[in-house]
Amino acid sequence: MKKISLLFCVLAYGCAAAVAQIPAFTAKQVKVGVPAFLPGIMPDSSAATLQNDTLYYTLQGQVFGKGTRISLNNHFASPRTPWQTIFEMADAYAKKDKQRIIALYETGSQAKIKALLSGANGTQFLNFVSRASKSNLRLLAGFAYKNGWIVYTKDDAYGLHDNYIIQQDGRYKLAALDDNMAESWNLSLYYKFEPAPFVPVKNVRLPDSLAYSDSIIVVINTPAASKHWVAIIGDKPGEQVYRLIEDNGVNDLDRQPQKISFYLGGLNFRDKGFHKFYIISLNYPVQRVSSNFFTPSQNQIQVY
Amino acid sequence: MKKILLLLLLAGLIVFAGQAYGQSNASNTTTPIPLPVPVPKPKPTDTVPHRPTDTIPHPPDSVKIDCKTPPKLVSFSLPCCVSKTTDVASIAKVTFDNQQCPPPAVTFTPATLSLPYLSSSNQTVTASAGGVTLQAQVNIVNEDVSTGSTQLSTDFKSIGQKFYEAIIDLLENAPCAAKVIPPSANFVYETSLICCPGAAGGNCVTTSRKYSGSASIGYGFTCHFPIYGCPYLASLDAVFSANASASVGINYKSGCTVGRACASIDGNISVGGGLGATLAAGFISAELQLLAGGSLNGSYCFYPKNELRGNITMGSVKVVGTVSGGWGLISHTVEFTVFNGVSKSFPD
Repeated sequence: MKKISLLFCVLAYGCAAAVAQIPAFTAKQVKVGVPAFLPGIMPDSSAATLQNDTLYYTLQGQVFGKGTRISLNNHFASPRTPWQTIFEMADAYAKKDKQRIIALYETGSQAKIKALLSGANGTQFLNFVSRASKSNLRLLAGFAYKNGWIVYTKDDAYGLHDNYIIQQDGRYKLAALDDNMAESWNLSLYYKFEPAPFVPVKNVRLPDSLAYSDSIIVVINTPAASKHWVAIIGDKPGEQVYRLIEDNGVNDLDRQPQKISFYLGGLNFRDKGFHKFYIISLNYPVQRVSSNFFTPSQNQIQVY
Repeated sequence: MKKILLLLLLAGLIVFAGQAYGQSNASNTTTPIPLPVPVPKPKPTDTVPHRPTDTIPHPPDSVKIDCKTPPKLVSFSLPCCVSKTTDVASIAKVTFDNQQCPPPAVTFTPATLSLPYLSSSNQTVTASAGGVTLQAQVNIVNEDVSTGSTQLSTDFKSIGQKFYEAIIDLLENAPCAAKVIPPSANFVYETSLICCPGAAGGNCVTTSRKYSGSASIGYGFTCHFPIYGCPYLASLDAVFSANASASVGINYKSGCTVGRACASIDGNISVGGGLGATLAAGFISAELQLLAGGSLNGSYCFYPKNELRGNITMGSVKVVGTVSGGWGLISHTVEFTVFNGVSKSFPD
């Protein structure tokens, strides 16, 4: 009987829930802490609570840890949950099925998606979304937002995508959104970077003093593969970091993974004198100093 | 013969009596009155004590001064210098040997000290009084007359160079590189003599420097840095131009005391430029403007020694605009900081 049912579903191009791991829609209150020092973060006193340089959002939603893989070959003509909509979208995108794509959008947004699909770049657009859908697209989280749901997905080719879904006629439909609020933007950045705890870098061979006009080459073996940024930060919150180097980025003098070699000059510390600083490894770029990075592993150098 | 002697004696007594009477009305003699003079009894008052006798001795102020001979001019001096048209009488110091008698009128030649056409002149002035003539010297300084002019272009270049170096240092920390338009300008100082009457060592005429000039320092930067704060892209390459300009002005004249001739430097750094990116045929797009600012403030002292002090601040750089993602149908209006700014003071 199960086989018959499965066959029926496949033939009918639907009932994909029977074959895919589509998560149940079980929204509840969740608290998301967005580091306020992530690049691009906008101040958001209206929706978030700022504590320890972190914006805390208390939201109604559902999060999926590292993400739930959005498998293809699912069809939900009438999605009953936001997740069904996302799975339907991924499949329609992957198959470049214009009609299914248009049908996914609520009526007020259909003109926009039609214009996109039928415009001069329609083919490129379809190629793009198709590739994204086939590049390990994952469902990360969804939160009640405005009159609908903001849902974050991510693929290995292009990174993050946000999706806005509203209920229309009892079904969850994709919708266009012109947003001027910080909340969804900040959450987007959180899911772009998926910030992991930083790691203090210890046992770095550094001189006690350095001439202002001189520089040295510092070599750091990053503690973990995922943490491919190294930042030299001062001890004054809010200031620009002294140095930020990406593993194999333009300022990395070697091409070896998990090894970052870079110039550190006296002028990086801006002024002569004694400077306390920290060396940390992160999985995201950080451009301003946060007190969250202050650890006992403090370094000191005299710039003369 | 006895009659003749008697007449002579009588005549002598009359003459003596007449002299004694006339002395009481004269003021130009110093002969003391040999006899006590009866005076009226003073009325008792609260402030004048009653004298116990009706006859008082010679009061002390009644010492007679002989002003028959007028006081003699014994000294005449003038200030070391003057720097404006001056009546000699108003600055001359004269003394007479007898200060208790009215001095005779003093005549100064010339009576007025006029400013010379040259930067300074030494004038001999005579003071004449009661047949005595004395001389004194005075330097008359025309402080408005320049004694020379010197270009300060080298100093100014050093200003520009030091600011340049400071900005470059900043940009090493900032996420962009820089190209600098070398500054060019010049300053001058003019020398003139000034009058410092109280100067130590008697060098009352000293050289003053009057600094003048104004210029602007201009720098141009082409900055290129990644913006990580876009959710849909690993980074956006932002390229923008930055201009720094500073106006430098000085109008200073050194005085008698050791001062500092410093030019104030005030400027700003403006950053302009847009950032546009369209990827994946409208799938992801960004229309952003970069807003930034900065300032240059400082002073450059030309005198008594060349010294540059200043502060350069590269202000925060903000990104303002619209970013579209969400499969092309979600747009965000954003404003966020990509660079918190740094400042540098110098000398270090």
